[in-house]
Amino acid sequence: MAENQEVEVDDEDIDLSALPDDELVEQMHDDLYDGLREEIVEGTNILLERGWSPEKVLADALVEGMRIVGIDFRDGILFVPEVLLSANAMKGGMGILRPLLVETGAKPVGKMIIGTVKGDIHDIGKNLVSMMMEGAGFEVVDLGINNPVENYLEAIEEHRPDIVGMSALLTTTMPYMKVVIDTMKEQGIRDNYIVLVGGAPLNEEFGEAIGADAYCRDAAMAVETARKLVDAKQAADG
Amino acid sequence: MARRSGGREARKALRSAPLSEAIKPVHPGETGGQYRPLSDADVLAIRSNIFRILEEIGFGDATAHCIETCTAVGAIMGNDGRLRMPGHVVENALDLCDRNLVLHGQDPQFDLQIQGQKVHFSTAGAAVMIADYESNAYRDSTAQDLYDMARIVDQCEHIHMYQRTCVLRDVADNYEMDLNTLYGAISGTAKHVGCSWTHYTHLEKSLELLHAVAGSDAAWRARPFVSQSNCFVVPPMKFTEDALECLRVAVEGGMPVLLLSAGQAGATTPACLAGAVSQAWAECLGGLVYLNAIKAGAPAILGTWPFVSDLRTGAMSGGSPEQGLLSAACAQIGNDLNLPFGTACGMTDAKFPDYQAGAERAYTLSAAALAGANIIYESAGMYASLLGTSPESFLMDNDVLGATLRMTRGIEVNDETLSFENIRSVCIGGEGHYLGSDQTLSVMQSEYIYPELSDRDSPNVWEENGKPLILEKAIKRRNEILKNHFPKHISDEIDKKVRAEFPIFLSPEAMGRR
Ligand code: B12
Repeated sequence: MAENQEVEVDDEDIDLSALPDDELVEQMHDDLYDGLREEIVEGTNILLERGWSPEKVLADALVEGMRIVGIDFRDGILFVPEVLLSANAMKGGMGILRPLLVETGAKPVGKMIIGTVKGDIHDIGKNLVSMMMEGAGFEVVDLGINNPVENYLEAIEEHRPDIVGMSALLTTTMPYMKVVIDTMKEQGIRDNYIVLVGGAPLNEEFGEAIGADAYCRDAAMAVETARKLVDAKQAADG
Repeated sequence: MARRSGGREARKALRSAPLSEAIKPVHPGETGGQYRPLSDADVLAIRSNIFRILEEIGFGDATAHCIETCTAVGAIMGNDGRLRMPGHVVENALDLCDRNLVLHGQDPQFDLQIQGQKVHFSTAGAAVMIADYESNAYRDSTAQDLYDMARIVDQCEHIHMYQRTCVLRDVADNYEMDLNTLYGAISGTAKHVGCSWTHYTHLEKSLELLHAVAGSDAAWRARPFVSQSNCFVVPPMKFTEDALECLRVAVEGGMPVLLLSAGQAGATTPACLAGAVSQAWAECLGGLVYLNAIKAGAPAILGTWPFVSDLRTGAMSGGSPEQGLLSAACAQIGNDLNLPFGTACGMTDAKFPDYQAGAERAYTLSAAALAGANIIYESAGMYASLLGTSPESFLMDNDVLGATLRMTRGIEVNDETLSFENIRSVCIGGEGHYLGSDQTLSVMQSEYIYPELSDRDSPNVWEENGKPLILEKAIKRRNEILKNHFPKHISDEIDKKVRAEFPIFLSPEAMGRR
């Protein structure tokens, strides 16, 4: 134990299928926390076999588990590579649920397109946001770096996202976010989407000034804000 | 020898004047190399790893010009779109490259010999905000700030060159911003200046401005007093088009280039420090191959700036001990390859000049300087992991840099300094102390460096003086400099000529001209 700081728990004998529903869900929260993709896939399948609706599996087991991960990431308990493992486990579960959710016509968690704006090649922060959003159950289409407005418009057309995310790390490229938003306005589509912006030199004031729905200072805030705004949008859309 | 030295007046004049070169305790280019975080075997292992990365992994996103130029010297363009550089191609660039780089000042007294294990300090940027201690807030940086910081650095003995410290956020147009960054910097100091350009066409116009200031294209080429900081690579192992174009124009225009690879360990370079050092150097050597393929011997500083990710958040950490360690290891490799080398150290993640700021600056700087980094960029004035800067900080940091240079200079050991005779005469029949000995008198200024702002008073004296904080002293000194110091190495006549041809943002009055 002294040599290894990982907490080792003897988990070989946990038979997920033997657990009652509430204990299984709790175990899945822990397995998400530990980033165990296979176990999450197994748990997801078991709950479905027991007749749980895909929505309920998603909300109670996966999204709730990742919410806990998000809190501990925010509070500095979990490190980025650990959260990415959790996100990967979550994606395992989502792989099973997504087609079922489409079939049942259930409301998905949400879809986001995200890209770094034209003239800017910084993408570490944007990638982190993408991964955290995926971890929270969002479907994310990553447009990469150096995106002119046309790329955003095409992606909007093709993917019909809930959220349009833009990243900029340079004072010289930040203004381009306004170009994208203004073009969306001109085309009369601005209000159909939630626009989130981020990047180190931005601030809330700037987000407001260019007409974004929100500026998010980091990936955890991005997830929190996206959830809130997507919920509100889905409620408004009925 | 005359026994009278002029009494009080003469002594006061002597003490208020700068020390003569012979007496100065430190000089630009003190020799580092004492700190070696890597063993000889480690250096060899990393060196072969670097070559392997270049040969087997290569670069993505090379431009047409880059592919054409590099394949002409033996690089191989793969079907997977990656440009690989076999060992002999790299060795060839190492044979061709310029190893005795001089970075010129507008005033030759500031010329820097970038070679061997000589250590120099530079500012760098580009902060987007000013950490404004007096209003306790961060605010957008401006053209005036950039010019003012140049004037302050002009007065800081231990900051040897001025790379642009901040972004001109009051200049909206990118061409005008690039041009005014250049003009503000070269107007504020006669030391060597480093700048960066967002587009190669801006650089072409800027070269015209530099010709105007130098007198002619030829005069500029004879003593290029501005170098280009160029992020030609986006780690891991990808070139980037805009920067490569700027690089090409710089080489053609006779401007030295800082080939800058700024990976972030854990995010864009491996989290293992040995891997981060290897990749950073592979990237820089890739740049060296391209540069020398464009023009053999074109002047370049190899700039591995090995940043660090805080893996709890992904944020950059410039003040981490790993930043110091990575820079030192990169310097060791640079020394091993005998290349003019620059790194970034002395940054802090603190937001204001506080305990954290001073500590992070000092320990990262010591590591890089003692390892023999030729230029340590970002060595003064930077806060918040490069997002902020603060004019008065350069004055406080000047003391830190002087101290670091003193440590770098080390201890001279010879018969005289071993002091046996001095010890004997003091102990046996002497005064019993060294305060008045001839030797003490003769080395009191050359062996010791005295800080300008740091406080060494006793608590009583400190109290009598109104308990001054170093920051208050720095702000006072800053105000004096900004009120009085308007360098005129660029004459009013040339300034007028420049203003007639280029959109200069700051008024002549703002630059101390009527
Ligand atoms: C790493 C880095 C680079 C790397 C980028 C590698 C990569 N693949 O991204 C390299 C070395 C290539 C690079 C290049 C340049 N850089 Co740079 N870079 C940085 C640095 C050090 C860290 C950025 C980073 O990745 N941080 C870590 C991530 C996790 O944080 P983040 O990006 O802020 O993202 C978080 C939040 O902002 C938010 N977020 C981000 N995006 C989004 C999007 C959405 C939708 C949401 C909701 C949230 C969100 O969530 C993220 C996660 O928590 C910063 C300094 C700094 N402290 O920020 C300079 C910095 C941004 N760069 C700067 C500069 C000057 C440049 C160059 C112009 C240098 C040059 N002279 O060529 C070039 C730019 C080229 C170009 N055209 O873009 C300046 C900016 C100056 C300015 N004008 O604004 C900075 C501030 C450094 C400095 N002081 O000089 N850079």
